[in-house]
Amino acid sequence: MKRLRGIWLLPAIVALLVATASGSAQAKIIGLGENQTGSAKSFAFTAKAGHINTPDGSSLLFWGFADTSSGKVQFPGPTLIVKQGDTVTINLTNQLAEPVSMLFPGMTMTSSVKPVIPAGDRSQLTSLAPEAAPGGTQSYTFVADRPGTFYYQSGSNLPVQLRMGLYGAIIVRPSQDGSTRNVDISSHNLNDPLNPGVAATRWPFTRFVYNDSLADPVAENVSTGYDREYLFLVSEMDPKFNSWMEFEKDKVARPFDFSKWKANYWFINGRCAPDTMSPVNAAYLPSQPYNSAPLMHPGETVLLRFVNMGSDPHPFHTHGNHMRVVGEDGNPLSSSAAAGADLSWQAFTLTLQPGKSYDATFTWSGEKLGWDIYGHADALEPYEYIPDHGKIYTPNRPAVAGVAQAPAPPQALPVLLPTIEEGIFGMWYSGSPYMGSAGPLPPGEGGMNPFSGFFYMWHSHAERELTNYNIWPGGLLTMMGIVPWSATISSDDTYNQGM
Amino acid sequence: MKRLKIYMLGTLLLATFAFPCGALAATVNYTLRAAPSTVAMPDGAVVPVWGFALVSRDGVAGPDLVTVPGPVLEARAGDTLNVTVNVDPLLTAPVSLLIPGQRYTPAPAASGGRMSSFMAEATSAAPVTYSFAGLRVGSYLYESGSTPAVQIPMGLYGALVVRPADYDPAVPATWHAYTATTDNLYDTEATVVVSELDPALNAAVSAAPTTPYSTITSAPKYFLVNGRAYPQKLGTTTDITLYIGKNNLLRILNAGARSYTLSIPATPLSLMAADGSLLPYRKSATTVDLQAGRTYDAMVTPATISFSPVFERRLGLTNGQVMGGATPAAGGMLAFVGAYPDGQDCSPLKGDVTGDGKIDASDVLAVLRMYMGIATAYDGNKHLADVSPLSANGYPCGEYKVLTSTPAVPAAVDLTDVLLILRKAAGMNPY
Repeated sequence: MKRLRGIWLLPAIVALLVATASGSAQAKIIGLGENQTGSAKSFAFTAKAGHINTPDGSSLLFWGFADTSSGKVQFPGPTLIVKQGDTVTINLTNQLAEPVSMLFPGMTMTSSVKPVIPAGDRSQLTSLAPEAAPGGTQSYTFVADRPGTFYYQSGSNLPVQLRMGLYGAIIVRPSQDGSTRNVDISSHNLNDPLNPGVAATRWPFTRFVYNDSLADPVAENVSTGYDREYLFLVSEMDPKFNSWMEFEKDKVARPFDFSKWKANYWFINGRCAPDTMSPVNAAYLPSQPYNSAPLMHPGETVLLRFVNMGSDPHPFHTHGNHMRVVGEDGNPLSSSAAAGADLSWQAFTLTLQPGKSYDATFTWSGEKLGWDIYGHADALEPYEYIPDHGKIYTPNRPAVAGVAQAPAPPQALPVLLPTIEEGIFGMWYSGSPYMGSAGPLPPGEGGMNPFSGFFYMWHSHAERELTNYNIWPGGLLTMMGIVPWSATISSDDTYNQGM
Repeated sequence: MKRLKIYMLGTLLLATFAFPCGALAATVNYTLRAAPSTVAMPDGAVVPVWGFALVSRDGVAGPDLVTVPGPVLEARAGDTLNVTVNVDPLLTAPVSLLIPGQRYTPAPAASGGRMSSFMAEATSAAPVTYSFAGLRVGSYLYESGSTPAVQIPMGLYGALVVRPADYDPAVPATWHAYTATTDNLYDTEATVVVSELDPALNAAVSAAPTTPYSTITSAPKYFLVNGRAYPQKLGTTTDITLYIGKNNLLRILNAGARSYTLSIPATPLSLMAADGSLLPYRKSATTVDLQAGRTYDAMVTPATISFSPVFERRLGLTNGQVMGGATPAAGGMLAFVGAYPDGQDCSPLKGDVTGDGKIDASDVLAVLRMYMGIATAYDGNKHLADVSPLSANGYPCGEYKVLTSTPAVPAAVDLTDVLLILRKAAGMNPY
């Protein structure tokens, strides 16, 4: 147990050291493609084998895609980020011992989609799409004519190659990106930082999941605008299968029975918790460059791009607030082309089905909690919920004979806080229950929340998926951090894909 | 025979019955026979099943062959559907029938002090007629209501297609999925029933039909599309044929006990109805999560010629669920969808005129003889030899075309066809 705890802490400390470096507020998902100019984008991939690490100390053989220029195979494969209308070519080189192909579900392919059926004999089918033979190459071209969240995956020997990790995400940004759409937020009573004490009426967005409605302002339930975006590519593995692939010398004599395949590791962006919160490109996770450590400021809207590349459904739960589901399979939930995401719906648990992608927006401001999240009565914070400003709760602590009642703190949450010697401290506790305030902690406690933000566990609600080979906590889990506006959310890639 | 009625085959092929034209609500009488049979899986396994056979519809005799899934039942909205279930003497377990989503009166039956069925049970000694009045339009599953946890996996299920009340098979203008609106008009329709087989369950229940069987350890080994596991075929060259620029209605039903997700990478579906109810808006999906017992209706209007897969994304893609051979074999819930110009067949599997499942020297020889005008035993397959000209994106569309409205374009076997098939047989893969 001591070791596990160390694993939890170490990356966090590294992370926070890096995170304190300031940067612009530009959020991004790490991937390939954004440095290419023009509408013809080209990528070179190599399919090859590697190993991934899990937080319990295990190492699993996987097959993945490498960006050929780096040669580093990664799990999941590189995220492609392109613009609507781009023509995208992927040149695949296969270094595995069996044919590999690529499918781009939902994309308008301009290269062949013909399956490989030698001599017209269905029973000899090797790939669902043109393949790269072992040592060979194959190229694929599609037009990214629709914005949204998509994926690529192997189209060969799927029961093996998908379980081994041959997949990755594709993000297509809408042509509308860069223009401004205002959303009417006046009903939220959030303090306008430029006009303190007055409710902000508009929230301008310049980045979108889909091309929105042209109305101005765009209604909130129709908007697909966002301030920051995060990718949640979820998947799972049964280590027995990966071990069989790596170590079984006579696979014919001792075949693997897929009816007994049962996942015991669950991943977000290729990592199990708590590694999900470790830095991007962490040296100790050489094949798992992506993390999942979303951060936001109160009032901002973050975009959650979900892709399930596993073969089991995963019910993804956002604590703190509902998410609004605005898209599915790269289609806006829209009743007509000009309506924006008018069929969007709210959920606190979204079941991610295998082979499907979803886009959801999430916002949190502390609105209508009934207490002042900043625990203060002086100046309003940016986008603070005005009606709760200065709302101070007076604890009704029962009098105990002979025990001196500690004076009520000037502002308090509607809970009885234990005294310091009674408390057990989570690593995310800043010493204060208030946004932006820190308090005293015993030596060695806390430390993962220097900005005194609110951290919510975001996770699979199939609770068994919160383990790493039966060790809790772990698996399909990360922490969503809402940090005060005084904390800069950095764009430094080495910590966070979105910071 | 109209080409537009594409029933997906094999086992689901339904004799076309004459509908009275423009009739008001009618009574449709089916007689089904529940009986034991076996199905062969691609790996050679022979699995015992129980299935329904079509004895008759409205007094017209059917093929009376047991299939899994059972025959597609057809009726129109408002009709009264009477299904008489005869139980074959070889099937010693009582059987019943219900249709989730249609109106019926449950009549639970008990056995040994416990409920054994949702409906009155038919036995070989006493058939039972199940009546469904005022049918609702849409796509439905019918299935056994007796010990469903074992009788449905045994194979006692099928599809019911209820078309609108004014449906007339002779008048394409009445071919609506649900409502009499333009966006509900379809040109072709196909029924796709997915399910699974657990050979251990089937063997045990088959051996002891009336002994309670525990499904606690049930582990399906075969994953089926219309009762077939890949590489078994649903059609001659193409499993599901769609026509470009046409409205192709797919009725997708999950008769299995598991939930599946079907992925159609190249041809997104426009989902229009679920469980026999129209959705308020169409929903486009590349991957469809098909819960156990769910039915979907989807309209597909492809734009380009293609031959591409539909496959089970939860990886029910093996036969026997075993992986270990040197050459991975594709299997399970996998089929190929062809999107072709109206009335044409552009499948890259064309060229197999001998019908032996592969394109080899025997096909080249037969096509050469066709070209030279020498009679062959395969002259009935001339349309499969007509691969030239290739489409702009390399599919063997040929000249042959079957349309209802215009005269068919006959197959033309020329030297290019011979050469293309020769190259195909030589492994050069020209199309």
